[in-house]
Amino acid sequence: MKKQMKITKRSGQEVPFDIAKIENAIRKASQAVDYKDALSEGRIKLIAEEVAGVCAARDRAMHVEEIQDVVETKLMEFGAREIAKKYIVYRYKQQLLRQANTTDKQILSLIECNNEDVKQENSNKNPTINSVQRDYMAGEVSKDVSARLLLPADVVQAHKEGVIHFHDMDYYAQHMHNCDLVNLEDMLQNGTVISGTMIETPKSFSTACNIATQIIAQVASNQYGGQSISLTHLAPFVEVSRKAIQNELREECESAGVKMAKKDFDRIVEKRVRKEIEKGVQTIQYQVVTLMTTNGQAPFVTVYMYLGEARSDRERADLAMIIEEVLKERIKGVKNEKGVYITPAFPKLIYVLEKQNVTEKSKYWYLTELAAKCTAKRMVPDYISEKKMLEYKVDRNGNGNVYTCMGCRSFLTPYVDENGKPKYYGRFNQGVVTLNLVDVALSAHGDMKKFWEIFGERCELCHKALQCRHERLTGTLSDAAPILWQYGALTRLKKGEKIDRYLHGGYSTISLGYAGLWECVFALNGKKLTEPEGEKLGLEIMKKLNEYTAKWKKAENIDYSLYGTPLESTTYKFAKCLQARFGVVKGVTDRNYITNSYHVHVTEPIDAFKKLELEAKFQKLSPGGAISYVEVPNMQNNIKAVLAIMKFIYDHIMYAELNTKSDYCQVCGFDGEIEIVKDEAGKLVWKCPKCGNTDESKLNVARRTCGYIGSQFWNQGRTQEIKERVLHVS
Amino acid sequence: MNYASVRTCDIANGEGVRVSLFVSGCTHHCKGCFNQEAWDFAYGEPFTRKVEDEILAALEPDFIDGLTILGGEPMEPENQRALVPFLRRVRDRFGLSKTVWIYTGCVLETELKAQTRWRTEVTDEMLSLADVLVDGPFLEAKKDISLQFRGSSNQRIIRLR
Repeated sequence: MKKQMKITKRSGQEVPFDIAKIENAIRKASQAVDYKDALSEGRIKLIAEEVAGVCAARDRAMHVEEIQDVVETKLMEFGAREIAKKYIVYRYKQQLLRQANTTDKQILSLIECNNEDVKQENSNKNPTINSVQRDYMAGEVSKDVSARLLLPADVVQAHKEGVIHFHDMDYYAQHMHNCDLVNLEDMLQNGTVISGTMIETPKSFSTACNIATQIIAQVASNQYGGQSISLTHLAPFVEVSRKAIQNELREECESAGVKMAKKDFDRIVEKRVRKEIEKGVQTIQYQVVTLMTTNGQAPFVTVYMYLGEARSDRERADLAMIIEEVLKERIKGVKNEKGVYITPAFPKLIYVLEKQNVTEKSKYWYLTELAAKCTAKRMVPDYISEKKMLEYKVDRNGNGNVYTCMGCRSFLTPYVDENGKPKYYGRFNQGVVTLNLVDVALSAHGDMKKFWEIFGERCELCHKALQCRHERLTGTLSDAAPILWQYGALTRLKKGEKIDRYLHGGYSTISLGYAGLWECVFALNGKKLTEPEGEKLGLEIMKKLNEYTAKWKKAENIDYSLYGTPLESTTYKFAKCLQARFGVVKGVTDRNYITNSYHVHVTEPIDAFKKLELEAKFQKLSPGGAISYVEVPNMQNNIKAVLAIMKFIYDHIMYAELNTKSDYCQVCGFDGEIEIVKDEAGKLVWKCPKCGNTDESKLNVARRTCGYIGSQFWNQGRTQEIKERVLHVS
Repeated sequence: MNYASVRTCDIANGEGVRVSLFVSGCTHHCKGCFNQEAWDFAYGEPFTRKVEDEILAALEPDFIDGLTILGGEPMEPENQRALVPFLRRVRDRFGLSKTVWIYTGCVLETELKAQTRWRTEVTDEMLSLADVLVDGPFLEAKKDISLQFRGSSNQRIIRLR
């Protein structure tokens, strides 16, 4: 069967490929030149067929502009220079016409749900619903204003060509930052204000959980990146509840005239405390997944579970009870529209592997076993190694620190406040600009000297773009987001105060992202990162990137930090741009995605332990954030193997996760791995292996594509990447 | 004895992460067998001292729970005689810190313990060197992909230690 190719129009809409349109365009150009330069009808058809052949070989819907590039090349190859000239001039004129207005069509197509690019841009947003469309419309306007008015031309040009990626341009028009660690402790202990309403210190654990979710929703609506909260900040309210329950029970006994033995009294109290914890934890789980922020998605929130944060034995024991409940609740899952329990995307969970829970004999080993079961079933928690983090995150006082990332993977730099105390909650990241390393390598054409030259220029271009980000935040008034700047989530400034002091001196970070180290190294010396020469060059590039961030930090007193970018939808954009600029280069641009950060290529056969050990060397050089993962099959029958991987993480790598599978088909009830297949048009689609259902609205698929779990499906490039992932244990 | 392959990060054939050795040769010929090419005793490569050494090295890391022997049929008489000296080496080197699992199409009580063609002078020693025996033929009618470490529901996980 001949496959029906598709093309992507400028508006983002996908339509069937029509060879007659290409023939027509060539014919028109041919009619516009002298008779002697014109092409015969046969030649026109031949050229059009060759163009079609190139498009078919790309294995994805090509963009109109790309196809026109191919037409130009083919016209030149056939020696039709005059016709090619006419064609180019025609394209240019059309482009001018189009530039007169850049957003109307984009907006109209996204309202009519015809914009494939927008549909698959963010795997946590459903673009068919009104509130999401409103967010996307605002995004289109922000992108347009940013590109035309706010950003320098060279940054915009480089962003368009995929040389760099200026993240979150859809929010750049506003004075917003990226992600943070919410100072929940301060807000709960000292009270806060939500939408003009005073919220006092809660009198019970479940109320504290309720307030926490309201804070999460408010915070998420005032920034575009993720946030993290620590369960430790909720732990003191278990004791508050316990006291209240004791008083209540005492009164009940008195009024009934019952004299109860202390043992029985305590047992009943603890039982009610457990119930209270259960109620609070369920509140967080259900409110977070059902909340829709003004960004048109569930809040990107991470819940951090670290026993080492507790300040007393009592608090640690209470924290352990909360952690146990959170894990049990997640193992259960949340109900989908059919009433079947499935894997929720949020909140993301992070569990710290530490001395008191990492060996069979340790006190909290039972929690680690529960975490392993939870990971096998629900992909989370992800794991932080206390041991490695203490080594890596050393502050000015010479002390190691353990803290969570902000949302998905951005890590703060070690920092002590003016009193010399370590400070993490209340800090944030200003934003990210990512360097496409693959483009640098291919631009150098194998010349190492040239590579470092271009590398330097591109780093400086990213620097310039990051300075724009910083400047955009400079002068922001606390009134822009009261929950963040006035009522404790980040700090407590007065009304009308500027946030500027938090942009310098290491309080917040700003990230230089990088992507495609694997392809970059392969393009330069033909070696893989898993080979000694490849690893050496890869590490050298990472060190060089760190030298740049260190230099900028010193000059400007801003904490520039190197960040392993989770290229969610951008992986496809970068791949398309690279193909357009350099054609198809084997092992470099021959796929519709490029590899995230320093990761080993998804198709490379390597076992889980070798992968984690190798990637740890790169992760150490990615202080602004990075996460390593191993791809595994369903492991619910072998929890001991999950625990073996977790123990290995503790000893070898600071931050890692396991990608397990648990999907669901609403048509036949199949509970397992939904597969990716090609449909008759050559497009990758999801298909139930049991009943053959391909209707995405009736499939629950959860995959990790950045540091979060996505469940709203992905673009063609990312889908191909997911399809090609090899297993690291089997 | 020949062997078909060695896997160094196996999580499907026994508890934890394991090294697994797939030996060649099997006379059960179960219908629907997942590894038919290994029925032939000449399949694969000779099981040499060098291969033994490689397996011992692969067992070394802490994250490896132990060794699984499957096939083919490890309990074919000639395979038993080739495997027992190797299993002694495994125990000499690792004691009980690593577990040994053996998969067989035979049934423990009626074939390995009874006077049948399966029972040799080393059968008891071989069983004493193992921690777990997964026994019984693969029966297609009893196939169940959700079973832990087994292909069909008649098969048993027997703790020998």
